[in-house]
Amino acid sequence: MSNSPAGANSVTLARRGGTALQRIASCVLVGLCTLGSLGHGQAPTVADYRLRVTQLSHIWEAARAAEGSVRGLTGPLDTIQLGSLAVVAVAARRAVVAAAVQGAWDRLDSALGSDTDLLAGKTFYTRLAATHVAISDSGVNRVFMDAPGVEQLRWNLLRSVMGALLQELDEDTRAWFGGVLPIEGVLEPPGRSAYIELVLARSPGASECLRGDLALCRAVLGFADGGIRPDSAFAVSATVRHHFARVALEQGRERAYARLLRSADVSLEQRLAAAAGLSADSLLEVWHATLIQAQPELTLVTRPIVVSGFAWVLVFLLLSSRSSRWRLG
Amino acid sequence: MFKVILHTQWKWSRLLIAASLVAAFALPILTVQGFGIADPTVWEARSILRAAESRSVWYAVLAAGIGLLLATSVWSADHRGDHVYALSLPVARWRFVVLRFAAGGLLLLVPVVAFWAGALLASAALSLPYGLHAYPTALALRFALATVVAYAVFFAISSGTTRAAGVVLAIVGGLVVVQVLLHGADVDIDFLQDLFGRAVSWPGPFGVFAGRWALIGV
Repeated sequence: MSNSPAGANSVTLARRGGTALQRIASCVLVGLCTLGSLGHGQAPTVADYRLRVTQLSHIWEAARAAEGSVRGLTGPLDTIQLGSLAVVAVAARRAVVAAAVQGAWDRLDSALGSDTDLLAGKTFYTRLAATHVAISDSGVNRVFMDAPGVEQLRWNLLRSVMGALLQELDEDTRAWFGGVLPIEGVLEPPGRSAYIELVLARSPGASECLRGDLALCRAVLGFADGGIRPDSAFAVSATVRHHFARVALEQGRERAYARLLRSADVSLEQRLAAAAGLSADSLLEVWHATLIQAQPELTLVTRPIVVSGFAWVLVFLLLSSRSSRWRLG
Repeated sequence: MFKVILHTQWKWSRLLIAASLVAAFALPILTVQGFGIADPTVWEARSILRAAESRSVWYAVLAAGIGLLLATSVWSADHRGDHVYALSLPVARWRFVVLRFAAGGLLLLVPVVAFWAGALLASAALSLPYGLHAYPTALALRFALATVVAYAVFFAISSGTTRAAGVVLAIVGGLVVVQVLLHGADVDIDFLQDLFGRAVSWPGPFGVFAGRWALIGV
């Protein structure tokens, strides 16, 4: 999250644009010097000159294209406000950003409900294009243009918002969440990933947790009496912890995020239990049951697949025997 | 009569069967290349799982390919001889079709068993990370089912006349053209995707080809 005013952002963008333009100018200068250096040492042939001129014209074309993109970033800024979500964008890109903001807001509104007021006073900034010209001895290698679409922007925006909300919490909690709060479509692993993670984890606690030892589940999730284990002591990655938090938030429904973020005086385990509206032990039980339900089934050969497969074989065999080829007349 | 039909079909398609045998035996071994990481981390184990799932598409492709080639070879001699041989036999059409189908189906056992052997060998040669298991027999059964379904589909198409095949192709092509026209006219109807989805999901005819059917799982 950034709290700098729009004007400051404009200055930043202008500086970025200026830096890129300077880089391009330097590249052209280097190219001209290279052309000039042909006069020293071994006498260049006409073919050498032609080659260099071709290379320089490619550099020039790439530089012109890059200049256009950089100038596009330095235009006036515009603020798009939807509910309590405020996003600043380059005015020329307003349409794309507005579509992404709408998508992000719809998702936030449905996930956070009235807790969207947690976003009040926070402003998000978007940067829609970055241009980089890579130059080697043989001339321009590539021109990279990063112009994300609406869906990618929406995803990044959601991630930024959930990361900004997490900034309200202490450092240990932020580490526990892996830097971002879970929300559907943003680092929200399905239960299957969490289950696989626990199966593959070499920690004996992980396998015992899967078998139903909730005390070990608590340890695997990184909860310790009165707080969180240090980051290095996590037995599994944030995938499993995100799944746990997601289950808690789903159980809690309305104002679950607010209860999670605003009850800072208790441990994270208690805070998640408060978000879920359950006791800590009950939440562990619910999470474990959800995890077991998400167990990936071995779907190679199941009765429905076998039955439908042979049924279709019979259908096609019947169709084969009804061919008109042998009919007379 | 079955023995005669089986013998002739073997003669017509033995090269094809031999090629299928080699491909079916080699594929499971090829798809586990690079999985033998000593003492992998959780992330490496996960990437092995993902790679095993993504490579499994080749099993479906091979099953469909074997079914297609064998089904067309089963009828090719009849088409060339204008079905005079079959008409000269004192059997009903349906019985002849069943005999042809059964003979081809029996020949399918060769690549299926080769696939099973390849999967068993690949599994035995792998030292899998903790938590991962290989399922060679279940995979071979799925492969067998997919091969038989593909064989039945193309057997039905091949048994018909060129006109019938043309009608099938025209219907499919017509559907694609209509969908493209709808898309061009900004009409938000995607019936082709819906049809495809129904065909490749249970209980559609190609449901057996879809889904995860990897050699390695949790």
